[in-house]
Formats: sequence, C-alpha cells, structure tokens
Amino acid sequence: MGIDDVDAIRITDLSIEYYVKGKGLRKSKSEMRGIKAIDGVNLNIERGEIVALLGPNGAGKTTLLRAIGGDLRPKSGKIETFGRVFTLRGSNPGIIPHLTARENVKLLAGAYGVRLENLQKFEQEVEDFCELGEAYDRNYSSLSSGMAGRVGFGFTTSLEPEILLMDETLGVGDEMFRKKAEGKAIEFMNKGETIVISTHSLGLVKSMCSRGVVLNEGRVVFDGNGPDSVKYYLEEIVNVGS
Amino acid sequence: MVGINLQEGELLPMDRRVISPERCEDLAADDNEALRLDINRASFIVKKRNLAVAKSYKLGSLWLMLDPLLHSLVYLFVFTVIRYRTNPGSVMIGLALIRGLQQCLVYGATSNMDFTAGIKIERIRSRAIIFSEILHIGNISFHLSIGTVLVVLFLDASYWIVPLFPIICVMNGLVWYSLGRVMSPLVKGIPDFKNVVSYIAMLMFFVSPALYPLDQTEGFHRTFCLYNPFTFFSEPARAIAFGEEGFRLLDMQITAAVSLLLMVSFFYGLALIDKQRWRYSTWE
Repeated sequence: MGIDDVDAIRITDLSIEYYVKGKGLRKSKSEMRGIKAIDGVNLNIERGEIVALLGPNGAGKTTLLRAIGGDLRPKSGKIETFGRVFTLRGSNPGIIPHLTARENVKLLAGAYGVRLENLQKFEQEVEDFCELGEAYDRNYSSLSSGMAGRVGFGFTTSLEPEILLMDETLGVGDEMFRKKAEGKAIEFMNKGETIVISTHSLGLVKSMCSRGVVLNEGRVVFDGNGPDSVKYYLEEIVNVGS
Repeated sequence: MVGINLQEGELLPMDRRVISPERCEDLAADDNEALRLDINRASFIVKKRNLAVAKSYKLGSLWLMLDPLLHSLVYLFVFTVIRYRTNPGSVMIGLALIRGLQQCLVYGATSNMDFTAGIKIERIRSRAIIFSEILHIGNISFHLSIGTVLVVLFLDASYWIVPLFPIICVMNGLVWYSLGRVMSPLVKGIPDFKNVVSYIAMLMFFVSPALYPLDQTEGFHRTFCLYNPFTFFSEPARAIAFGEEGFRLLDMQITAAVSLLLMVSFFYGLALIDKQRWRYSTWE
C-alpha cells in the first residue's frame, strides 16, 4: 500500500503569517507587518485518526485548522489533503436565518453535493440528530444558540466528510447534545474517517482522541497519544505559565 | 492515482487538495461531479442573495424589480420636468442602463470582501464563485430591465425591446462589473478608494448618454461618449425601442477597439477572483 492510501493530511514545513496594516495609506505587502501564527510545522495525519490540537490561546490551533481547510495562504510550505474536508467552526454551514431549519437543510444539501436520490434520507438523518421537535419548523433566527448548533453540527456530520476539522464545536449545546455529538464522532472514527479537533476540553482528548498534538507559539512542541499529550500540556504549558 | 485502497487492486478515487503559497489547487476525483457541484453552489449563492431580499419585505422578490423601476421613475419625473423636449422612453432606457452601470461597477470593485460566498464549512472552488458572480450580475440586470421594458412599451416602443433589452442590460452589467473587478485591488489596497469608485459611478451619470441620446451631445461630452462603453449599450437599445439614430454616430474602429479591451478586462477581472482570494486570505 503506497503512502497515498494511508495519509489523510500531509503538512510539510508550514509557516503562516497574518498581515496587519502599517502606518501608510496603502495596504501593500511592503507596508504591512507580518505576524507569525504557524512556524515550520511538519505533521502527517493518517486516515482514521482522531487528532486533538492542544495549546494555550494564540498557539495557532485555529490557524492550523483553517489552513488545512484551505482558507489561509501559507507563507511557505505545503499542505496536501486526500478526501473532502469540512471545517466545523462555530455552527453555521451557511444557514439562511429567514428560513426554517427544515428549509435550510433542503436548500443547503444541494450546495454540499447531496444527490437528489439521497435527499430524503439525508433530511431525515439531520432531523433525527437535531431532536428539535416543532422548533425544527421555526425560523432559524428564532432558535437558541444551542438549538442552532445542533442544526449546524447535525447537518455537517450527516454529510459524511472524509476529513472533519472541528474548532471547539463539541462545546456547543447541553450535556445531552454533547454526548450525542461525541457518539457521532466515535461513529466517524469507526468508519475510518479522519477528525482533527482543536479543543481545551482535556477529558474529551483523553477519552476520544487517538493522538494529541500540542502547539505553542505556532510550533509543534509535543506529538503523542491522547493521555500523554494532555499530561505534557498540563505540566509543560499550563503549569509553567501559571 | 489518489484514493482509498479498499481491497487489493481496487482504488476508490478521492478529491485531493494541494495548498501552497502560490495557490490552493483542488483536484477532483470526478470532474463531471465537481462541475455539477459548482453549478449547484453558484445557484445556491444567488438564491441566498435573492431570499435575503425576498424574506425581508412584504412584497418579497418583487422589490428586485420595483426598486430600480421606482428610482428610474423618480429621475424620469425630475429630468423630464427640466428637459421637457426629451423622449421619456429614451430617458427610461438611459436611466435603467446607468443604474446597472453604477450598481455593477461598485459591486465589482468591492465584492472581494468575503470569499466564503456563504458556504462556510467547505472551501469552494473559485470557479463556483465566478459562476455565482456572473449569475448574480445577470439576475440584478435582468430584474432591472423588466420594469423599464413595461414602461417603454406603454410609451410605444417597438416589441423588439422585450427580448433584446434584458440581454443588453445583462451585457452592460457584466462589462461594468468586470471593470469594477479590475479596480478591486486598488480598493483592497487603499480602502479610501471605495469612495472614489462611488464618485466615478456618480460622474458616469453625467458624462454618459444616459439622459441625452448621443445625437444630442456635443463637444467634449460627445467625444467622451464615443469612447464610453455605456454608449455601445444605450444607443442600440434606443434604436431598437424608438428607431433613434444616435448609434450611427459611433465610430466603428473605436467601438471595436474598446470592445476588445472590454473583453480582455472581463476575463482578467474574473481571473483576479482566484488570485485575490488567496492573496488576501491572511490580510487583516
């Protein structure tokens, strides 16, 4: 089996800088100040792994997820992904607030490539996951943030992405929803899909993640299994910082 | 070949993405499927924009047509009072086209602010954004033309205006949109330039043959109009509707040269979307 058959994400010497405006009138690269967010990251993630990104605020977790999702231009280096990549950031896949959750799911399904013959099954799956009752037919804008989160999460995971990037999304909703979302993530894992999750929830890393990557100041400072990465994070980052 | 190895020798093709400083390249496992998806996405983006209007008002999407029509009628009233000899139908045509110019020019120059296009959990290919932009311009230009067609028919315009004016409006919209896109790096680089684009759009109202057909212009105004792409749309439309002969004043060599430049700017402006999207992704 070649490497293409194993790797889901391959990151080579990745550096990313955000550019902020300088004092001049023009926003040109020469007049903008670069702020390094990711600095020389090398990481290979295999198909079926559930990888947690740990690190203090500003460590580069969200930037790394956005870069893998194709949202950010690297300053140098390369990322290759194999399979469809979805990024759950917040809980909105592109929902139209004037429509109900049901109408949104129907409309958005086409935009995410759900085939017409699978549409009914897909809609039912999202509805079952959300468990919103009559609220499923209310305008999306009238739903609480927890309810809205269910629709977003239910929609995205029902799409069955090959690579799912999650930015603290499991923190959405109440305890019951969190359990359901974790169940869905485990279902993913069993199907051999790849998940990369940026989180501060250490219990979740220990219980769910096969691997933990600790980031600090844009660099990978630890790469190991879930429990070991939590231990490293607590001892070398949190305790040192406090 | 990229794919998941299911069993020995059986390879299921997968999408692959290569991200580098130069570009974000999406290599689809199935090109036909990818094209179908991009067309669906473009149509979703346009629907989303229309729904934002339709669901905000009691009259819903009727406003897409009513808004430009009422604007034109207000201007028509004001300017026919000032210039009582002008043919009101001819002014209506000029006003509809100038509104298309203003909307599409400003939109083209400033539409590089959000490249997610409303689809937030998966990066969409730039060509889907390009399709959606063309559809959006076509959509607003078409709606803009409908009200005008109804009014000029009342004013004894030829029936040929019914099929032809919407086409002229869409072409006018696409031309000014692409010129706006060519200006968009300036707007991104110097945000103050956004206001300048609005002033340019306002100036075009007075230096184009919007209120006066080409044959009523003179001096510098006439010379400017001969080079102004707006004239290539307004004068044929007036000729079709009312048999006006202003288009005969157009110099064919100038028209051909400017049209060639417009075609180049159209494709260049659309190609800029992918470059700008990538370049600006890490800008403040």
